[in-house]
Amino acid sequence: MWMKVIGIICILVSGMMWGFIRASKYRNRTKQLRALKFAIKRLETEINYSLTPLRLGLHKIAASCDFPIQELFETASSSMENQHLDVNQAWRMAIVQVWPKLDLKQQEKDLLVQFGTTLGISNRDDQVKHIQLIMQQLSLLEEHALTDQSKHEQSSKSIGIMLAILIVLLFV
Amino acid sequence: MSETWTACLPESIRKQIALIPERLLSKMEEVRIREGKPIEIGFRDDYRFINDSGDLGRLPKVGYLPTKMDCAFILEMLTEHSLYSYEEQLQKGYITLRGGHRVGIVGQTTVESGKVRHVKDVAGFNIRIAREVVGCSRPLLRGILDQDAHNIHNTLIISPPQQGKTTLLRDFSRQISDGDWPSYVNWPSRKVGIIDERSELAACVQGVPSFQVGTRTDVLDGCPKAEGMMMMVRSMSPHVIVVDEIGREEDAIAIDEVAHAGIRILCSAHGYSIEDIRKRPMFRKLLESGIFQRYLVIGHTYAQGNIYRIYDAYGKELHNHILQRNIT
Repeated sequence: MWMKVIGIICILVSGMMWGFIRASKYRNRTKQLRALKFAIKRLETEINYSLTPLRLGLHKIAASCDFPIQELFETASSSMENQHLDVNQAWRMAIVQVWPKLDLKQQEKDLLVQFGTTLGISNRDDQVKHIQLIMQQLSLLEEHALTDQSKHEQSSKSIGIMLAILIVLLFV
Repeated sequence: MSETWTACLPESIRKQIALIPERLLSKMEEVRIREGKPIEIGFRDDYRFINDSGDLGRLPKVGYLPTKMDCAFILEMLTEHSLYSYEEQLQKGYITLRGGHRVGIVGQTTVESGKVRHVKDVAGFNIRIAREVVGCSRPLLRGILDQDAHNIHNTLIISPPQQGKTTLLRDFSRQISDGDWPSYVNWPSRKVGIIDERSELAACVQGVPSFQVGTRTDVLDGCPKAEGMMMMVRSMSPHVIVVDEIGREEDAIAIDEVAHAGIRILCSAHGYSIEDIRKRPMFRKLLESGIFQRYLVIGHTYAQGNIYRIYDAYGKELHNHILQRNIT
């Protein structure tokens, strides 16, 4: 009897956890997109006003961000310095390394990769234009992410619990 | 090969540079990289292409041909991955690396209101390797000394490009600033102010000279010459001001001001002779005003090497010195 109760509790807890993790992915995506926007806005300031060299700029931005966005910028900066890579290669490598820690979607990955091909290789006006373009695209994606979050965050939690209850009913 | 300038090269080109025999490495003055053409190594009086097997020859045989990607990589490394922060240097056509190595850049220029705004599609680089030759000015210093003022005369060094003007100026500045005078005088050292517009003379890294320019030397790095001279006079009270490659109208005005403020000038200009220089309108006035008491003209012949001739204000030769060079 006790074993059954313990089993039921385990299934319910697992179901809830699954639901919460699924819900957190929606929430984290919005948070990470917002953090990315903040970081890229800061990059614009470093480029446009301070004319900070890119490697140093990325390093500075990393220091003002939270994990995992911080890791994206720091990895790109350190690969440029230590591995003799160009910006595009370093940025791509950072995305590949940090991607498993992010809750972003493929379209956001494509956007970031595309952004890396423009970084540092043109004059100030051009850099600012590229940054403004990615900011617009990120804002659009953030809106989508917010809609997804409001639609699916609560339902994911409920689905988790409902599935767990269903499994319990099927087994008992 | 641990030279700082190789850090801007892609692996493919670095491998080619590594093929150059050690005995020639120290004599190299230039490395010319052109898209689709073999890599050229420049010596004082000679040049070589790096061929496939590592042979160096005057004929461009089959060798590594730098690609568009290689050129883009070099430009990115030269600009520290940040083209936007090097716009001004690119407009001037060169970037100075750490260590004072100047890299000339050519490609397609974009012009706006008659001025070069940008160099795009960069397809050629000329890396001029900066070297410090401590003591190279020693045999010449006595020729420019002013026995009355216990200082140097206002001196103009005249030389065609690539004959060691900058190296000479750097060593003069070291000697004057360290009090490394000829043994027959016992003068105090002098405060020297260097205006290093192209960062070649002192090769400053974050404002600190990396070449030996003397203990009592202050350097204004990356500063326009004319403005820098006036700033130096106002703020640092130097005894001697050193500037490289003067040539603009405003430089002449600043030199005039400085010389009349009781400060000695040591500067250089491109040219073959005093007559040559006199033909340029900006110099004519300056020379006529009699500011320069000494002219150091660097000549060169293949047979003899470098010949240094020192003239007084009236064009009378006072001193000459021959420096034999066996480059290749």
